[in-house]
Amino acid sequence: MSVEIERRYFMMKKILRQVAYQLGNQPLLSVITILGTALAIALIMVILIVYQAKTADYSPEVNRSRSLYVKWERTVYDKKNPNSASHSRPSLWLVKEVFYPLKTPEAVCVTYEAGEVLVGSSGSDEEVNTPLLLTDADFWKVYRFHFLAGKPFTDADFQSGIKKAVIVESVARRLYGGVDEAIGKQILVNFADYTVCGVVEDVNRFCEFAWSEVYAPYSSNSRANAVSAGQTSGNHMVTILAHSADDFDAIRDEVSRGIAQLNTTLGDTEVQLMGQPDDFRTQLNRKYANVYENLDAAYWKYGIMIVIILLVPAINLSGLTHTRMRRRLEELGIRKAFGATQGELVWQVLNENFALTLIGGLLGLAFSYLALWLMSGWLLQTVWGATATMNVSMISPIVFIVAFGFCLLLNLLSAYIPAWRVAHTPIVDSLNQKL
Amino acid sequence: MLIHLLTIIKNNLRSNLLLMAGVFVIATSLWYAVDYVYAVAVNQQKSLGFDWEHVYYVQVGVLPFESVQRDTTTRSTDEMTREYLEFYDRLQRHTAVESACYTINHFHYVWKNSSTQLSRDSLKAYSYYREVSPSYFTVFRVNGVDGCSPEELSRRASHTSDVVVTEDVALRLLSDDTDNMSVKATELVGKLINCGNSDSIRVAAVCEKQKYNEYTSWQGAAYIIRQLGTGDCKVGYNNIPYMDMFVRIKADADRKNFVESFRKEMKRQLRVGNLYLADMRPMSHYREEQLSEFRSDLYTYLAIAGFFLANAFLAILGTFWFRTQQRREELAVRLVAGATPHELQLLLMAEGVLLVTFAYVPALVLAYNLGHADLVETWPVEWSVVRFVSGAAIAYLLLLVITILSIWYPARQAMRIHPAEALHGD
Repeated sequence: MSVEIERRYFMMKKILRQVAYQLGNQPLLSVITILGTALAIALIMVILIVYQAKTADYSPEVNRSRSLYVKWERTVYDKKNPNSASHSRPSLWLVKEVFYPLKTPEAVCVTYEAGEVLVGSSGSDEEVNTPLLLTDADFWKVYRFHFLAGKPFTDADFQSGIKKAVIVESVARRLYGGVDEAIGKQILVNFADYTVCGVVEDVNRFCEFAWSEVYAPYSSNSRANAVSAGQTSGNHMVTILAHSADDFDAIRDEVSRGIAQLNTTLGDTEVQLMGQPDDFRTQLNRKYANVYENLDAAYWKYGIMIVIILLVPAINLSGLTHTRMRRRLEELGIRKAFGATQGELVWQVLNENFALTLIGGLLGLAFSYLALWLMSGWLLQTVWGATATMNVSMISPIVFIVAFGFCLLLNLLSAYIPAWRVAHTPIVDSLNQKL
Repeated sequence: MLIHLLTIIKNNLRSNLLLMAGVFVIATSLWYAVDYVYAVAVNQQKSLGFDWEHVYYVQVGVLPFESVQRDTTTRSTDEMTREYLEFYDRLQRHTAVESACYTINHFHYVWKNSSTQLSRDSLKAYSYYREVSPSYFTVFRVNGVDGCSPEELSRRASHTSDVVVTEDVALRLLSDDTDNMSVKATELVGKLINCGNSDSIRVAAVCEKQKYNEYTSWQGAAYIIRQLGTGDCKVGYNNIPYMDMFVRIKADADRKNFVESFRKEMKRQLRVGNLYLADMRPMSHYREEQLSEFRSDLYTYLAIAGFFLANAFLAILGTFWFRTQQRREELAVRLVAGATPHELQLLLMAEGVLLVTFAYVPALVLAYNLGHADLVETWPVEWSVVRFVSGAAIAYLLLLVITILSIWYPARQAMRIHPAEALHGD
């Protein structure tokens, strides 16, 4: 163990020495290399850190990686005319016919966005407009909230349509002055009496499915609980929690069997799910009810952007590395004359260059966090112009490993060709500084 | 001079090609970003068509069945409509309120729309379908196309089921050729048009062109006039949540915390039957929400432009800094032969500018093709030669500024060369 630490320490020292040497010897070119790298890494990392924050598993959306989502349905009114269709959220009837009976998943939960409601406590004059999310008891299984006080409503509560509500910390403090004080109190939701049964931490805006400020059973609301046979369009969304991502195909099969079965009973009408259930990444791009083709195009756009962001500095840095190497041709020629192989020379150049790239990469990562912090209104934007806050998922080992990987890639792109050319210059030419 | 510069560039061809390749990619990407920003800027010049300042949105709520406060005695639609109008009247009577209106399927900045096809004989026009009360035009300060005031427009549009159309829609319903200057939009006033499959309706007035928000283009709209309580125009509890109410507040009353104090003051008064004041927010709130998405795109393109400019700066600076050092002897000879240090500086700058220009030409060709193939954002500003030339010129100027900035330092170094020292080695 100590040998390993010593080796690492030695490596670090060597890298730092190389950087110090290069900075002293060719200050301007080294600074340009570092800044060029830092800019590229900063830009890429901002994109990737935001992506990470939008897709990683964290509370309360801890199960994103093994969940499937159904956000929209398409109803064709006349099978002979496939364009006579409307798009909407699935109805509760559709959910009860197809999704609740599913056998393969671990749990199926349904959410109903009831929009902004007026919330107050019966005693005081204080009123707050908050979003209300109506759901079922499995919601608390699929999404894992951190309860500061009390507990969620149970399946029995849900079945009996009891008026219980879970509220977030900020609402509890505003209405009752504290977290524990809220439990068991009355809360008026659009003038209907509910009892507060739990208080959870405020939810990050990047959790689009779990985000709300007041949660209640949909069975307690006549509008959200209404079922009418044959009515496919509604306002519900479905989250299907699989035992593991390996079950996704089996679940999709089961869902499409259910839909096919249902369609045999609908006469001229036909329900379509447009490729859903989606995994988390695909549903991110399924923003609109009637846009369901080429959902992955957005990822292509990002891919192309990242390639260009890498390519431009790579070409530039490659020119600079080339320049730096030309100034050291003599030195490299001498090394070669003393028996260094071409491979060793390429390795040396790459290594030296990597020291600079790494410094640039670290600087770039620091820039990206700084930018995310300073410009959060723009960079951490979520749906409807809301802004998310920074969260733990954004500072994970994965982020550092990815940043390191991009540094390596940038280094290879920018230094390999110059290194190869320098190493393959005949000794005589090297010593004469001819390239 | 030009031939001389070309010879210099040719002599250093290999490293120049590398630099040019870099500048080519940068120039193309830069142009793409500049083009986007240019299109946004051009679109900002078009008038919005309405005024959102001092306007507040009021949401009317209906007590749910779950509420013990709900009065469950059965009501006719007439009674429910009366309740709604009573709410509206009480709101209007507040001293801070200048005017109020209600709309169906029309709410700027929240994408709450519906659309329809208007027709007159064989002429057709697609437009937004907006049901509004006559005072809508006063609340949102929409002017008539003939320059008449919002108040006058509201007066002309006071008949239920009449329609007010925007100028662009009117022109399309008057003539096949929308560029025909001799046709005046006001000629449509008093004429009958068809809306969807409905009976024909009378055009009461023509208003100025309307954008949906600052970042969209002008989009045609038809305002169907609805006055609750007149004729069949009624509303029930089921539909009240889909109606939107807006109030214009007197400018001097529109202070900070206006909403809070207004709601506190009106809470009891605005509990009418089963109706209550559910929410009240300034239009600026919805505007910020919707525009932030557009702005975020704009910032992204600006950031891309900045990134590429910074890269161009670093690349050119690095190359030229090295080059002036490497060419010390050559530059020294020039000094000996009678060139002034300033001419030397000029020579280096000209060389840089020429290099960048060479790289810019193929970038332009690519840019033109990108635009021609509609791979740029062509809404709300369509692709045109003017747009291409403007975007290309701006991008080129930016590149030139960066080139001159980045060569400035190396060129200064070159100016300080002492010929005796530089030539000493040989």
